[in-house]
This record gives sequence, C-alpha cells and structure tokens, in this order.
Amino acid sequence: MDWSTMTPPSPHTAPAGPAEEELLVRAKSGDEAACRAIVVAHQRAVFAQLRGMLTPVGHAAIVEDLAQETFLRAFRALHRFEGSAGRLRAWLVTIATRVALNALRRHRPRVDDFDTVADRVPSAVGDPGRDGRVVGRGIASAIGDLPDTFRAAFLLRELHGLDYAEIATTLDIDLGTVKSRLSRARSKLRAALSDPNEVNHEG
Amino acid sequence: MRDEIMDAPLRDDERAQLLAFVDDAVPAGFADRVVTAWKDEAGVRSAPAVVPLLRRRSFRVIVAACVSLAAALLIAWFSRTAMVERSEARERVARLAAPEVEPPVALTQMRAEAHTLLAVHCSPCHDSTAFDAEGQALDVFDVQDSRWWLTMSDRQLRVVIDRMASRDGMSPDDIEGITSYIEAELDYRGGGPT
Repeated sequence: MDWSTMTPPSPHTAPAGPAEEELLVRAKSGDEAACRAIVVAHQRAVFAQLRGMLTPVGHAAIVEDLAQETFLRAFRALHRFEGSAGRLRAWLVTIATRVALNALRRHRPRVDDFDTVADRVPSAVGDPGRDGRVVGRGIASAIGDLPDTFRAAFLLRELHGLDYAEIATTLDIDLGTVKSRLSRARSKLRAALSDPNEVNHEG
Repeated sequence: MRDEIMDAPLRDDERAQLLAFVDDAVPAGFADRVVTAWKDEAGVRSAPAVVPLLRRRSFRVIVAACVSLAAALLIAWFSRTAMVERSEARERVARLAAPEVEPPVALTQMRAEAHTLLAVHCSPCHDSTAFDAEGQALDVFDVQDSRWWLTMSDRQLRVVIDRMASRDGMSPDDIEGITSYIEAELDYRGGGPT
C-alpha cells in the first residue's frame, strides 16, 4: 500500500500479502534483510509522523534520530508483536508518536528555528500558484499550536487512519476529548489552507 | 451544520497539502544505519550478561541510588564519629580539669596493676619516651602519664579489654585483672566525681 495515498490509510484493513507476512516472521527471527525491508517499507510513514510532531515546534533536527530509535524499539519488541503485517505500520507510527512525545517532554519548544523549518516546506500540492512557504507556515502554525498529545492524535487520524478509540487508547486520553480536539485541529488546518497569512498572524 | 463540516475528515486536497508538509525524502542510507545499529545492539545482547545489564537504564539508576545511599551512610558515619570524638574530647578535658579526689584503695591498686600490664604490652606506641611512639596512640593514653587513665573515654577503656585479650603473653589471670579494673574504673566514673 502506498503510504501517501490520497485517501486515509486504514491500518485495520490494510491488505498484507503472504510476502509481507513472511517478511514479518523472518524479521521476528532476526533476519537482517527482513528487518531492512521493514524499515524501507515503513520509513516514510514514520518520518512523516515524526516531522508532523516535531517540525512545527522547532525540533526538525532530531527527527532522524527519533526515527532510528523508533525502529530499534520496534525490533526489540518485535517478538511480542502479535498483529498481522497489515497492522505493522500502525504499530510503528504509534511507537514513533510515543518516542516523539517523550522527546517533547524533555525538550522545550525552540521557536527560534521555526522559520527555518517552515521555509523548507515544499510547494503546496494541488494549487501550484500558491506560495508553498506561506502554506507551510500556515500548516505548521495550525498544528503547532495544538498541545503535543492532540497534534499526535490529529496526525494519527489524518495521516495514518487510526480510529478514535485506538487513538484514545494509544495516547491515554478521553475519547470525547480526542473528537473535540480533532475537530479543532481540522478547523485550524482548513483556515490555514484557505488563508495561510491570517492563521500565521494568529499563531 | 457547521460542526458537521468541521468534524468531517480532511478532503483529499486538504490531506495532500498536509502530506506535502510532513512527507519529505528520507535521508539516504537511513535503513542501512538502522540495521547496523540493530546488529550492534543485537551483538551486545548476545555478549556476557553483565554488559547489557550495565546498559539498562533501570540498572544504572539502581546502581546510582546504591552509591548515593552508601555515600550518605558514609557521611553520616563520619559525622557521628566526629561528634563522638568531640564529645569524648570534652569529657577528657572535664576529667583532667576536675580536682583530684582520693579514689578507693582497691581501685588505686587495680590501676597500678593495670599500668604494669599496659606498660609491657602497649609500649612503644603508648610510651611517650619511646622513639617509635605514635601520636594518635599517645592521645588515647600515655603510660608515662601519672594519671594515664583520665585521657581515655569510656569507649576507649572498653576497647582496652579486647585489645589486651588479643595480645600474646597475656595470661587468663592478666585478662581477668584488666577486665576487672576497667569495670571498676567505669563504675567509679559513673558513681564517683568526674
């Protein structure tokens, strides 16, 4: 499954063929090639979750380190992973989220390098005429203003398709709160996309 | 109606822009670095048990806690020892400064017998006339001092019993004699003038 598909991926129903299942079995037994294949298959999703968590609050520099930590934690615990290969991506982005939340608890937001980070955002997809940097700042501002836990919830839902109950359990927050905060996050994101400068000024 | 719009999942074009923000090229060689790190760690895990144990954070925390506790106990012990020593020094000064009171005859005799034994078995360390006398030992008592027992604290007097009992050449009678003297001296200190 292409991770960056336009429809939200659904980890519950994500098809995983016999090859993926076999890969998982081999990785559990310590096969290096299988471990490498798992990294290659899921690294973009893990990086995206970590960038979404860390870039808006000025910690883009630690994304790669935390991505590596995510996979190492996963490999350490792989023998306990009982889900199918189709659930592996959801499991990995959940680990990535927890790794990022732990890092954010240790590091205070660095607002000083926010501009540099936002400036690296590529041009907006779908509207070639729009200034990508401004849109990037708008998105960063919209999701960067959210508390860490709710930014995590928003990304898990909108990027990786986890359901509300699973997000609530993963992040140990109330289900109703997840829904309300996701609504707020969507609202801010929509405002950012429709008028990036306005949100930027608010944020 | 507005809430429904806000609660609706992101549209494809909205999600695409969000993806454009978070999705970027993964650094070259990332997978290789992860696998190398995992191999290194797996190698460590198969090494002797003490190595991974030292690498565990919980183990390091426990070791740090034990070291801190030991340090705290050591400091407390030194503080207490210093306090006891200060207290003993004050007692000694008080005893030396107190006017001499005639002790019971029996005690005077026991002191003389004990002194004979101490002079034999505790020299040269406790003999200020010996070349190899030891300063700290002389602080406890000096067999050349006419009132040698006064410089010893109660605790130091009790230690004499053990020290003398372990000396070569001390007969059972000698040990019994020195023990009786120490007990009599302590009794006298407890009941008599200080």
